[in-house]
Amino acid sequence: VSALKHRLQGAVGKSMQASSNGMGESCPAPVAGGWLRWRPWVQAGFLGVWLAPLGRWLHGIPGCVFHCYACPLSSFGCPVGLMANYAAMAPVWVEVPWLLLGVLVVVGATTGSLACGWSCPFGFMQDCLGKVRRVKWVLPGWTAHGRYVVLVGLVLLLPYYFGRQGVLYEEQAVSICRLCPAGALEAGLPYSIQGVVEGKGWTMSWYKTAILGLFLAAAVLVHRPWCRVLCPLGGLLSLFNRFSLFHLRFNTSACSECSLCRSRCPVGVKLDLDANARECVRCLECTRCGAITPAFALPGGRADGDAER
Amino acid sequence: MRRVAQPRMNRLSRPREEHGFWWGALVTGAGVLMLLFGWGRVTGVETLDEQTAREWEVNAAYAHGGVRRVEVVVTAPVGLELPPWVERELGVAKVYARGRDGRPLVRIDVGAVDPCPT
Repeated sequence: VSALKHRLQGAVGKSMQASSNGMGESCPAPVAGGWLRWRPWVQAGFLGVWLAPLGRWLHGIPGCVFHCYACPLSSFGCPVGLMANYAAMAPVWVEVPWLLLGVLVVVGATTGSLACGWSCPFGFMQDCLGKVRRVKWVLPGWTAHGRYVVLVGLVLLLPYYFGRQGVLYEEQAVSICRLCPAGALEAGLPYSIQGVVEGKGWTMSWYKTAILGLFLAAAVLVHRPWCRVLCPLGGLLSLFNRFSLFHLRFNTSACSECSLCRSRCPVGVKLDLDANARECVRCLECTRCGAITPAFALPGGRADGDAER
Repeated sequence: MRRVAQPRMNRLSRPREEHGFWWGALVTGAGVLMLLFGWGRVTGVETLDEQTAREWEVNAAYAHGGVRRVEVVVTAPVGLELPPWVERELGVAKVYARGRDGRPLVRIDVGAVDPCPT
């Protein structure tokens, strides 16, 4: 009886929301998560951390977001670039990057991929470009595995292979830094503009310029294309989503099957089936319906997010 | 916004969301230990002035294009009579040095300021 009552309430609520949200019959109105309107401002605020002109002395400390350390305004070191450098130098000196591992493990184990959704400057830029065109192409879920291919192949194995041939990372013809669209946007573009102003011409290579153009077009057509398909750092941080202290809880009893969580998700995660999926960038847009709530694990707290069980 | 079709939910078949505290806390603690260890650690990497570098100095050198191969000047072998021009050439020829294990000798320049290493 209670299940029927709940379903009836959900259906009534759904029809009321759909008729009153101004978006026609297609989508119900958000009932929670009003604080999410602050997300762009939080992302913009974090730009002040990652783009700090006086913070170049912090380059020795790895950051936890995808952000090129060659950017004229960058503060912390790019974790992916540092990882590739350590891999390339492994045949010469075997050094474990404890500082880098520590930063990534602490950030990952406490918040999972929350940094992707709320503080990554490259993710923010893609969010902004994503507003240009509302209708987006939908990518199949398996494309998310591309992040691990990039992480293992391009960030670890390829630099190591060239390093074994005696080629230093900076001299390697193919590397993540030479192909990275964030590097093209944050470092290649400003230095090329500077080169043009000073009469030296366009200094960025043609293929990197093409990658940048391709990426900008993709960010208009697809929600967060880099984060979904290729970002090695996002792939690494999302491995922690399953057990990170900060996590998402799905309350079956509060779900009215309104599909708002799936409709709002920029990366196409089926949150009603798996709230802490590895594909999730934790933008928390799914929490608007009220059935999915952000939570922080505490000692002695409930392990199960479903209140009815 | 377009509504995305969603299958009916079966609460009993839905997997439980096990999300406890201890795994996250243990891994966080391990990460903090790595962070502290890495911060104070002196690596086996040599700087140009033949000191050993701290880990954050190695990171900064990677970010600023501060990785340098060690070059040595080639000299003529003792007791071998070579034409003067060969000795002269050898006197200025530089090759990349290698250690006893055959690995190239590489040091870091902690004062490097190359804005874009690649």
